[in-house]
Amino acid sequence: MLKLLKNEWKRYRLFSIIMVGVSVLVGLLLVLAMFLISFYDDIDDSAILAAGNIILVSLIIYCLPYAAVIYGILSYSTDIGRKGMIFLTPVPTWKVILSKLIYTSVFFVILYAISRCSIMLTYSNVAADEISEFFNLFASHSILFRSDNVVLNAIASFMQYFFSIIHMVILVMASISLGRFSANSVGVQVLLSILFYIAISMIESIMTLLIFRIMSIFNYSTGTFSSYYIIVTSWIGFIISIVFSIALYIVSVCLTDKKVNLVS
Amino acid sequence: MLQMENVNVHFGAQTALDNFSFNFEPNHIYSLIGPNGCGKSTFMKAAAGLLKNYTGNVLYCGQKVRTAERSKIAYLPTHPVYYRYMSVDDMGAFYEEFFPDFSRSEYNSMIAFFGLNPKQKLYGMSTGMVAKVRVSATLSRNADVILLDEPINGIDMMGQEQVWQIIKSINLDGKAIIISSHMLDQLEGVCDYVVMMNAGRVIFHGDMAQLRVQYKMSVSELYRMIYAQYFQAMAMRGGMMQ
Repeated sequence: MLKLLKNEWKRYRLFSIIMVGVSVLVGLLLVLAMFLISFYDDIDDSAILAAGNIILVSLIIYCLPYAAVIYGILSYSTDIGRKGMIFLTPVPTWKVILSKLIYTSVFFVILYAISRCSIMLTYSNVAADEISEFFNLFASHSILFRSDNVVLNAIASFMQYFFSIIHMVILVMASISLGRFSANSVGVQVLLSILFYIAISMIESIMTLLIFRIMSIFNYSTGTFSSYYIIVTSWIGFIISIVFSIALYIVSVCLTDKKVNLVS
Repeated sequence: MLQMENVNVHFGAQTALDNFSFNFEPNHIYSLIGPNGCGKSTFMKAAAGLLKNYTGNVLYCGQKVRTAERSKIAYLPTHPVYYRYMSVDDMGAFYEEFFPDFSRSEYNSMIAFFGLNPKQKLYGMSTGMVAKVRVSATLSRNADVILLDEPINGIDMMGQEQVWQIIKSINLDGKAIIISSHMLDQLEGVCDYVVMMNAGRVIFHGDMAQLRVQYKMSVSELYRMIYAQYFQAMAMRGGMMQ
């Protein structure tokens, strides 16, 4: 596995370094901007926080960690194409795909950590005692877990985001495999891959919605609509996406095995 | 050693291998020849364990060729397969990491023999130079079966001679080398056994030295004669059908 990861690093080190560099740069610029803004007395803290939140959420939190998804798609689609020499080796397909997921995970964690560190530093510029607010900020993104412990909330938020990224990469990989398996022409393969992606996402959403509806019927009958109900249904959606991810990983491995590179 | 038993491969309506059966024995260098589209490359892919959608059996030492068998079978595809980041040295490092039978020292000496710069990036090289690197990497493996699909494509005349020289220097003890090429004149000096293919089937095969004595002509001439007869018969059959 280490050899595979080393190979992935060699292939994508430039992309990885650039994305990490961009994340650090954007993070530092934001910290610097917030630091400079804090000198102005006529701007109150809430205005600074609002501005900071907008920039951070749009630039760092959502955009930059998605570079890990771009890596996953690029790496997989290149390898199942005619240039992918990894499938000439005696390494089993499941290992190759798993190595890409591990690299995606590590890459994501690094980008995520950079973005969160910049948030932390930004908050520390506003007021030292408001660092604890940092945890609350991204704890609010998690709907799977809520407790009084802000650290646990933060971990839950991270896990939810992390898993959604991995799930997205696996979904794209499976869609590419299905598209490639269903047609010979590259154009049709791309089109089918997009259609498969939409179709699988829709099936997953419909299943989650169905369970949500069933749960709500149950809740209406008891006459309560609590946060507990939202957390439970969110967990069901989360578990469905885990089941889908495992199934799609197996689909990707089987289809890649059936129709590997070099075969027109 | 490498057995093909009634192998059938179809790509849509097109038949690439049609009941292909042949047993490749060790200690031979096979020349696999035939017109374009006769199924040579498909055979190579199947033998390398890269084809899954076929019927019949592709066996290496009695075992079905799967991913694990690729550690005993070296395969050089027709088209260049390498990663963009790779230099000549990186190619050697990649093979060293993923193929336990790869000899880095042999690779380095072959690269030096071809006069290539180990630090040069592959994407900046000409087709012929990349082909030399790929041939060096494949032949530096101590594999039991070596499959070379058009190994001299794009290589200059002197380079071609160097490739044949390297192949001839390989210790064949327990090994089978299968070379697919259209340069039969050159293959005659390298290979000892010929397998002629057409429309996904083996139509003729034999020991080259024996064939020369038996037919009192070179294998290249024999090849031309066999295919001329074959195509004539096909044309007549087509005419009769019309």
